[in-house]
Amino acid sequence: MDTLQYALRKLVTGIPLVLGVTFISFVLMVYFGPDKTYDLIGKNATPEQIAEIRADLGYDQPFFVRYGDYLRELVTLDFGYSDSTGERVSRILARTIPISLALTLPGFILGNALGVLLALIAGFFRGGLIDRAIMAGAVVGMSISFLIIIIGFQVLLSSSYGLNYFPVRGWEVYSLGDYLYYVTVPTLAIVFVSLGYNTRFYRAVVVEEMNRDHVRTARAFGTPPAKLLFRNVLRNAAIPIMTRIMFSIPLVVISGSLLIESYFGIPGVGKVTYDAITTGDQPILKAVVGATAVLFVLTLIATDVMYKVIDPRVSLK
Amino acid sequence: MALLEVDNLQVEFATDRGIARAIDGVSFEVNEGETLGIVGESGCGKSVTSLSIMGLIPRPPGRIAGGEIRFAGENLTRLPEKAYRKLRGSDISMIFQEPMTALNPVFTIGNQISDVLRRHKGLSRKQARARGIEMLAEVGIPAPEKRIDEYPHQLSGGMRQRVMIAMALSCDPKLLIADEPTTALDVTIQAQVLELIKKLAADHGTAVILITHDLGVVAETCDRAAVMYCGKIIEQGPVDALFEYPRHPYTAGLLASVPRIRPDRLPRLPTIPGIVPDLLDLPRGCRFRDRCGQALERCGQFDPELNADNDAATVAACFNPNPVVTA
Repeated sequence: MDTLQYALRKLVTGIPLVLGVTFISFVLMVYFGPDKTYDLIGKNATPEQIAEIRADLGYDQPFFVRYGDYLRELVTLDFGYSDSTGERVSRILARTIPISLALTLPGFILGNALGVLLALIAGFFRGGLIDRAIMAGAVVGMSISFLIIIIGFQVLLSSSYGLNYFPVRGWEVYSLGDYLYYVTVPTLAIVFVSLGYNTRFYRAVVVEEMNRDHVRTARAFGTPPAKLLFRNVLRNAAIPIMTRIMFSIPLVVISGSLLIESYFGIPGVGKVTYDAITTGDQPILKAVVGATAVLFVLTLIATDVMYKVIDPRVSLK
Repeated sequence: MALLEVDNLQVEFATDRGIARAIDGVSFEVNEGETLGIVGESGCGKSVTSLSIMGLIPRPPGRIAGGEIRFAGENLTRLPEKAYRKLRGSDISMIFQEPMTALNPVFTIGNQISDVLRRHKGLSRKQARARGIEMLAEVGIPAPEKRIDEYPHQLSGGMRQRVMIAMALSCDPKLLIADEPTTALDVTIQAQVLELIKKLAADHGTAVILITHDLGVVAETCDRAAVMYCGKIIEQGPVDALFEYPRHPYTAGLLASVPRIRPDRLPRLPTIPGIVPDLLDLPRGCRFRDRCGQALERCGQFDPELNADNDAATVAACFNPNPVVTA
């Protein structure tokens, strides 16, 4: 009950934050953004035609009215129609976000879970051979470019030089089998590229926690290693670990994984965003940027609430 | 046979500048039900001694370079880790200096006590909880059935140290190591906590090693005491004799520098001149020589061993000890 109240209160305090981020994105992207007037009219337009188009686009409205329009679009999720395809922006997003999620979520979860596991092992054997081997692996993972990793996995698993078992491109998913068929190689690439960073970060957290007095107490009372790691250390390390995971969620959901989507020819939201940037498709950009900002604020609030659940010392006030 | 026999223990730590021998040939015994005080300045090896007995020296960088620790006749330095874990918290328990951080902040105290009881005594969840409440009552925590569900941060420092004591004694250990148990507490609470340790140890028949830099604590609580300096025991014996007639100049210097009400007003509180030598760069001969007012020439050549003098009640490692006073 307390927690629910706390969440609601946090939600209220999130409102100014949402207004702030949307205001900035409005100013930078919409108000001072590209002027579409001359893309929409022919060569020898009369001043009357120009004025009419500008009125259609709402350019003649005062600053705050236009900001209000932008907010209304965000709230109703109605961003109009794409400039390039004419499809409703909300429909484009509804079609592509699930694909991006399905594509990146397995890799995201695996990359974090394995990262935590390896970090716990490395932290437990700190300074020993196992620790050094894991950290060396992490550095290797971090030093190889994402592109090389993608191409490497494609060559190994999807080409006639390697296993030639998985597809190089595409996303024709109608069943679980199809899903696994298309998602495996991208997932491997995502795990490989994120694992190094995750392991390094989480290991630092684990090592710090291993040095705490309460861990020494637990040892002095005969706690076996697995329990020490998963109960005493992990629970206390949960706050920084969770913070990192939570803050990468908006990126996973909205921007998807741009490189993955373009290299595997998968029609996710990342690819849509990328195309929108290159073609200056403003309605789509407005939607993506606005939604990312709102999602970040929501994540921030959710993270605060989860702190409270994890750590009893976090006050509800 | 004594309950605990530490025999010529040597503990080394690898540092960037070389090997530091933090404990160099320490020997002492603790009998069943007895309370031994280990006294010394910071860095003299008190805590390393206690962690060695618990088998909790971080390895690397530390290692036990020599000697034996025999508990109930069994050499702990050779004990496999798994067997050691069965000992920790059940036969040998430990209380730490920092009650504010020594308990796990994200679990209730009941959870933490039950965990120890269930592991070592094989109790069920319900039995462990009941026993936990009993223990909390025994260490004088009011409303234990309510307190058991609280988190460490909801308790004061003194209460937390009581919880630690409850946890440490919950499995009826034969030996309790208390590493500066009162240092971090308010003066008013210190006496209560010491009294509690003393009483409960007597009730449970537990032998205690009390590690402290506070001579007053030793005088009030211990049967015997060992004084450590720079990784060695330089004098040990019954507390009364040690305090009344210290033989080693260091012990005498420590006692002289305790602030207390004296018959005559002193212009200044006496101190021991100089500083403790660097473990990585020890002088030849006696480690206390540079700070000692009664050093002889041979003190610079040979390191004195603990030497029993037939007439003295304590043994001291000194070539020129204070004369024996027979009462």
